[in-house]
Amino acid sequence: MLRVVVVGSGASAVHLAQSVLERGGRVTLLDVGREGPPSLRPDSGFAALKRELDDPAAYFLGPRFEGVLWPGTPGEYYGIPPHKSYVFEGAPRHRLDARGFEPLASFGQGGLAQAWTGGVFPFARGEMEDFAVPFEELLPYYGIVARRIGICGAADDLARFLPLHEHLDDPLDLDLHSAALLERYGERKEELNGRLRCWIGRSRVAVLREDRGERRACGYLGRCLWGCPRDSLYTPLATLRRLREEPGMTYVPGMWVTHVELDGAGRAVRAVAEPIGGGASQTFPGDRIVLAAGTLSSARVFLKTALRAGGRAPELPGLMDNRQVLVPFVNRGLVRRKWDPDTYQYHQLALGLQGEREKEYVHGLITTLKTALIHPIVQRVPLDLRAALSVFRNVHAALGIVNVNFHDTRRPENVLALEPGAGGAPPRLLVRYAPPPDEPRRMRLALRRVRRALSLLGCTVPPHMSYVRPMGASVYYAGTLPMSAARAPLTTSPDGESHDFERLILADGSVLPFLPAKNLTFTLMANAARIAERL
Amino acid sequence: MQAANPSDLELEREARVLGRYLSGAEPSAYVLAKYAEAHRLALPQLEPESRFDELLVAFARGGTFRAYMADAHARGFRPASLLRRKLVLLLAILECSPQGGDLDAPDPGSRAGFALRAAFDGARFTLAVAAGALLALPVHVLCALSRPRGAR
Repeated sequence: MLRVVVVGSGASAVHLAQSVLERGGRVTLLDVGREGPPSLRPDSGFAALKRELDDPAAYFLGPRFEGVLWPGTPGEYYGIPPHKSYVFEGAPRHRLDARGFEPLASFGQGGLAQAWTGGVFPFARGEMEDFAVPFEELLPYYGIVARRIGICGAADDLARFLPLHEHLDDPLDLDLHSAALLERYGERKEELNGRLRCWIGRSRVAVLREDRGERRACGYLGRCLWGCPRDSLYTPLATLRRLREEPGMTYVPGMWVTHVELDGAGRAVRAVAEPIGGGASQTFPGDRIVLAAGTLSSARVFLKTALRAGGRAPELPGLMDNRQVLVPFVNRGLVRRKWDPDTYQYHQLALGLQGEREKEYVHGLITTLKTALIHPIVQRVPLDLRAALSVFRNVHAALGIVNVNFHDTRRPENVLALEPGAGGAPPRLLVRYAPPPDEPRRMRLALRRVRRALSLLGCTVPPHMSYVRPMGASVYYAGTLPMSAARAPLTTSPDGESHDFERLILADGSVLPFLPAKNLTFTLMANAARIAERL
Repeated sequence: MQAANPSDLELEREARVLGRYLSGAEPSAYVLAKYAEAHRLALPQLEPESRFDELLVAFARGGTFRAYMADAHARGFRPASLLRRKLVLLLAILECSPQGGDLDAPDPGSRAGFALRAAFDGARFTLAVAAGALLALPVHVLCALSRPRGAR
């Protein structure tokens, strides 16, 4: 019986663990594992919550008003709600020195995907041409994950960019604004497809349309951002909770994995972890040690392992992340309409810009504004606050934002490295990143097409309000231990095994050799399930 | 910059004036209580950064017209000033309160009426910013002159 030690509890980790358990193996999952607050009132919508709670401002803004976006806070149009702050809370041992990059990490149960917006977009064949795994081998695992988590979407115009897989459920009901945009797209399709090479369709989202086990169907409560109270929107925590009831599963929270120990033949044999609350290190032996803690955390463990094995820690080149640009817009046809709070809050449409090559595809999530905290937006209108509020409430139903995502490639100057700590201090992870020289031009051309597309849809893009998010903000990190058919240092086999340390498996974004413009979470889950079957 | 903490009475008066300015209605007891609570937490965002910051808030407390003039000036010249932060805090509390939905419903009337109102608001804002700049200039000068050497 295969014994597998898994580090992390995010999207990759739980789906690898599930696959191992389904094949009769045993899993020990090591996790820092901070817990979030419990859900409340699973049948109350956004507006009802304000009436029903004793202290609604504490819920939405936090007990110390940490959810307020204060004037002078640059750039973002929305903040992390207090209930989700545990996802991004740091750890004293997680020491970083980052330049050109604003890294985020999660030490919460379920990882970074506890705060995602549910977008699930499979990679296309051309996007995988650098992968050591053929597209056809990965495709069935998209279907396996879709069966596990529930995915809504449509076989529509975006299928030219988003391969179809099994177990794709019918899409959610559209909100008023998204429905209007899609209808307008139908009317202007020829120009959009022909002149701008832009296609629009239903977003694919990991949301249930029907009850499934303990997870309930989407109730259109408009509370997605604050944490779906019905678990309709999939998060890895839902899988973790279920796996913890399996007899072959041992979940060990409160653990900070420092490195992997090797045997005399240089094979990974046990993970070494320190209890978060203090105390002696503990070891966790396994037939396979899997690093699935996210690109940054997995790199830290790998580098410490390499340092102990060889006396020096290498640099890991090739760090990637998706550049994102937020483009707000106003749909002129919906000005002064009443907006509906009883909707799915996140993106229901997406747009795709075809590139010269499949790898140059640009992906845009179209989120229409429904339920939201309005103070971050109102304060940015260039008027006194009273007039800004008056303008806002008359255009609320007409507002939306396109989150435009760009691909990234591995480049040698973008590295992760480990700086050993002095005097017993934890080591520090060094992050160095520089965007590609052609990025400004690529962004300019793509954003011009996005603005023109929005114009054809009857929307106005206010000048000077688009926001280029800093690198690191998307949290789609990848590329530092890429898969390779050829054995080479600091790479992994097509099945995730380190070419440096036998039986050490990488199963998260570290192994991707190229980062398409899509959210990589679905691919991470599928790849982890595939790797699990080859352990 | 540490300032004398406003008394509860001053805070309540401030919240009532600013609340009426923002929403046209008297803030509820819940909103007043949350506003005071935020100030009792001694949040750094609610500390004045200059003497002018304090004076602008004191001026705004005098009534909804003065709040409007002060807000226009702040939006034009000091968008992250203490007054703006207090207004945004109050807006955040208002929108989370049980009456929050009232803030966000479209006004009655036609689109043309909305466009005219928005244009009027924009023109009035521009005039208010210009007038405020002239009126505030001597105050800025006095504040700068009264600042100890080396102080921010």
